[in-house]
Amino acid sequence: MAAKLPFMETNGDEPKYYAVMSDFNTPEDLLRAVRTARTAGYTQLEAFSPFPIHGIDEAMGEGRSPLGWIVILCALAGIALAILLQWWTGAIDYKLVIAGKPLFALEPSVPIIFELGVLVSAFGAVIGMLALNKLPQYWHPFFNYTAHAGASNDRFLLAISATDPKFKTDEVKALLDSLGGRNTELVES
Amino acid sequence: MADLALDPRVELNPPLVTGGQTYADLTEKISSITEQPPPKQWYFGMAIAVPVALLLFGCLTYLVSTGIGVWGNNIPVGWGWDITNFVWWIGIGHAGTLISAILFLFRQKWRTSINRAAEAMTLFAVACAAIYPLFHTGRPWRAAYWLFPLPNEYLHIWQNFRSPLMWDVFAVSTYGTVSLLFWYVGLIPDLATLRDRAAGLRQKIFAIMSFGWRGSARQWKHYELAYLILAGISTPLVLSVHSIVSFDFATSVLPGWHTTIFPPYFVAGAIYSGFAMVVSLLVLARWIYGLQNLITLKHLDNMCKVMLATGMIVGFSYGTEYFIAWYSANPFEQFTFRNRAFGPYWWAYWTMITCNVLSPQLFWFKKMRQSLVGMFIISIFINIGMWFERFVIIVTSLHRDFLPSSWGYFRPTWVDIGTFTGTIGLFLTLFLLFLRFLPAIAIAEVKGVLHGQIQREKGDH
Amino acid sequence: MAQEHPHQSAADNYFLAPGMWATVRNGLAFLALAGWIASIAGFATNREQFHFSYLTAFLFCVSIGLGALFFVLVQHLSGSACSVTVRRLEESIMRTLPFGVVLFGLVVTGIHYTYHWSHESAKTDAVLKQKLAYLNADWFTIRGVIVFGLWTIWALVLFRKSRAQDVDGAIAHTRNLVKWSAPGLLLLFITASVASFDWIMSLDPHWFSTMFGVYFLTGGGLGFIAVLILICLALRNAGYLNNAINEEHYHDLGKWLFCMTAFWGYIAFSQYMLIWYGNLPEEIFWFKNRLVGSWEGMAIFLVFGHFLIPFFALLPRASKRNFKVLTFFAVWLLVMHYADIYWQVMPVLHKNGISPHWLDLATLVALVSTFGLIFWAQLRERPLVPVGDPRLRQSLAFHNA
Repeated sequence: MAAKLPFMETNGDEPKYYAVMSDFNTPEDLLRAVRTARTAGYTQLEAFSPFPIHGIDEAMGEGRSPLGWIVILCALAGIALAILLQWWTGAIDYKLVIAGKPLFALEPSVPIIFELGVLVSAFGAVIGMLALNKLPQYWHPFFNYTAHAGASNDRFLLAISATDPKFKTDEVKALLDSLGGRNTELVES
Repeated sequence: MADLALDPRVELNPPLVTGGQTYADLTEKISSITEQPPPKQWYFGMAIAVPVALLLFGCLTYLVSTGIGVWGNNIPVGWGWDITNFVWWIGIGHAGTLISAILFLFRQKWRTSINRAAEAMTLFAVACAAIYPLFHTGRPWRAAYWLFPLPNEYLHIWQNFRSPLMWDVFAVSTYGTVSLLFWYVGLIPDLATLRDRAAGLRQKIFAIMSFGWRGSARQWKHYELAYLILAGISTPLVLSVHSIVSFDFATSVLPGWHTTIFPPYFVAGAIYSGFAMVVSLLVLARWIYGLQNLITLKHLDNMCKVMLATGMIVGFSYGTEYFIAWYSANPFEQFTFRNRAFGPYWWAYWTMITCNVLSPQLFWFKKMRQSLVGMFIISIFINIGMWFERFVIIVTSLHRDFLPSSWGYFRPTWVDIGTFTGTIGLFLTLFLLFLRFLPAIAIAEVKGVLHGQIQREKGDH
Repeated sequence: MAQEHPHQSAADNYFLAPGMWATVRNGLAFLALAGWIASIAGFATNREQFHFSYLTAFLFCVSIGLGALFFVLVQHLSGSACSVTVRRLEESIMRTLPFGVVLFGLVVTGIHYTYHWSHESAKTDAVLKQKLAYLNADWFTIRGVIVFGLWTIWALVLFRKSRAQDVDGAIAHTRNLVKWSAPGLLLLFITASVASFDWIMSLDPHWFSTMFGVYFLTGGGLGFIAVLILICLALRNAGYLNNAINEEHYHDLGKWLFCMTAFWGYIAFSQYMLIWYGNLPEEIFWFKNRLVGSWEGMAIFLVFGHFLIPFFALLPRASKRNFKVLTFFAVWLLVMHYADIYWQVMPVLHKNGISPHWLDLATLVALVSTFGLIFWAQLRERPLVPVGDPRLRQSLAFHNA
């Protein structure tokens, strides 16, 4: 992406290059490339694809997302909030008997307990997902790659990061080329 | 293709993306809709929808400036078209969530071509529905204090949380919010696709809207789990929303309203009407934009089957209610149900039965499930029938009060009719705008389906 | 999102070893014999208690068979591939339904003990006398035979066609099964409602709830999934179907167990809350009678045991993939399903509180082992999975999200 705002320019202290990137024809080619690169000892990999590829997390040695636990905590918070709200407003702060119903009872409180639990969980899932992905992030060195647009269309990209301990530009380039990658290039950060 | 057709596996799992398309074709086909000037049919649709939507604003302005007496509801029929329309619109919204969440959990891959449009439909339907609770207060600018637990200084009072109407506020606002989140999360990768195809200001706008999505494997990992969780919580949510709407009626002690089957029966009815609306809209969208290879007859056939199934559940519920009314040996119950079918509103009742129970029976025939015109007409019938269902439940139970001296007959006013017609205009306007400016089909998800299809073909041959 | 793997899993042995089959059969037969002898003793000494205990156990077993029928029908209609490997076991549970009509005979002989609409006093009761055209011993029996007849037709047809496909693998069977399943599902809803109204709801003949059929069927569906999980795991322990039903399939079954638990909670809560809220004398008494003395403790126990505890325990992905957790909750939910039916039936007899009787156990053992024997007979020299199903390959390679 050409749009790079002035205040987002990197300063001179950071590594000059982001990664060597290459793009592949099919998800299977990408998976094979990831596996080969891992076997060759590279650890700082990132793959990009227009749709999630099954099995790529295992290939990259990624663990499961912790998002589930975040959401469960949110759900419990929502439930607690709903109970507190209904009990405090109805039975403590503003006592008014209506239709002979108790000031606070669980039976009529369940719907709102449920709804608030869901609402807070949904926010937890979305905000949690964005936070774990460090989004929104307007700019990323990934966009310096000339063929980056393929990742949202029909290409399957692999980046071997410049921070990888084994990183040597020529070797990485040769590896990606040998795996069938196209447009292999060193991407500035 | 000839040998594919003979393969039993293909016959059982017909390809969901037809026409031999590639990933790039999908990107091109779906994205280009938002990038080029719309076809004539689109302008034709807007030319009808916008004036009708303006009618809504006119009617609401008149309502607010005059008072809610301009609506036809009056004792004994204190709830009239306002809540009928509210329930009808909320119900229509349910298909969107059902398609996007429940079918996702059931791994029904055919949903991917239609879920985006269906979710958008949910949002617009909820927006139309929300107009009624907001405006029936007469002073919508103060409604926030009545609807939401906001501390208020002078009166120091709180809402009655034991009232099902308050549950409704929470259910509908949660539903609207979660549907929006779900829809937007689904849009993020596709907005990135549009960003990468665009230049200049358009690119900047989509870069911001897509949150800078890159589609990295780590991002997809969290994203997929977030999507799964949202689907997981939307499923009980969609059940709860129409259940809570049904509680508005069923917690009362009014014959015809107070019956325990209401929650699942309302949910089935909601899905039924929602699918009917999705079919009506998709047949149109397919015609406007030529999406025959993405919204295939297979998709529409499946939706017709869902309509048949939910229509049968609704019919089964009508039957159960009648049986139990007799079985209860309660004269009030028995009167109410006799009155429904043979009282002053017999015409509404039999319209409902014809549209909801009889018309979907045609879907037993494969020919009907494959005929675009046929399914379009039936889906419109079902929408009419489901509107009448709510009307019948609400008005017939109210118009015969316990004391015969309080009996009445409800007639809508022109404002009622104008407001309702106007919401349809608003709905169509919003839907057409959506088709024009956002990817109407989930590009990333259809690519996932296409990938599975390619793998299967490779594996088999 | 599930994806299909191109690779094939290693083949299982789809047939039970005759020796193992006979051992289990002998065990079940022994239990059945012991259970029936005890039950007959109870029948001779305490007719009233016998019929109530028998009805509870009968409902428990039949509801599970109906749950099986429901899931088989839904599976044909949805065309889902992932659950094909367990379908033969489902069908075998469903196949127990036709024998229910014989066991229904003992319910009929107990009408006078269990259903007080059959008493003379009903004829003078202002409400009941209006219902006697429906609630009378003749029609009760006829309706019972009709619903069992319909279940029998569907169970036999679905089972036979599926077996026929084992032999020829013809896709025509799959299409044919779909055609049978659509009307079957509708009929199941209607017949299960009729059955639950007759067999449970009319124990309190003044009471009525339109939801009751759904409630009954939901409980049965939950009980069925629990039974299915236990059978699969037992076969696994005996060394069968290790590949055909792998962790992914158990995860799926675990999801269903969770889903049915949640749905049961939804239905049970809706029914209770609406009646609580309306507080009408003609409805509320049903719950009041079931909240007397120790019945109240049982009701609260059901809220936690049948819903809250399994709901939260089965929520995490890990517990659905852990065989120990799954086994525990399958057993637990089966006990809860029995307790739920017990709580619906028994307060009619023991009005002041729970009063367990040895006949409860005897009839339960007798009926469960009888249904178990019928189920087990289906597996003799027949493949444990529908080997002719064109979707089987897809199912074997199925992978969860």
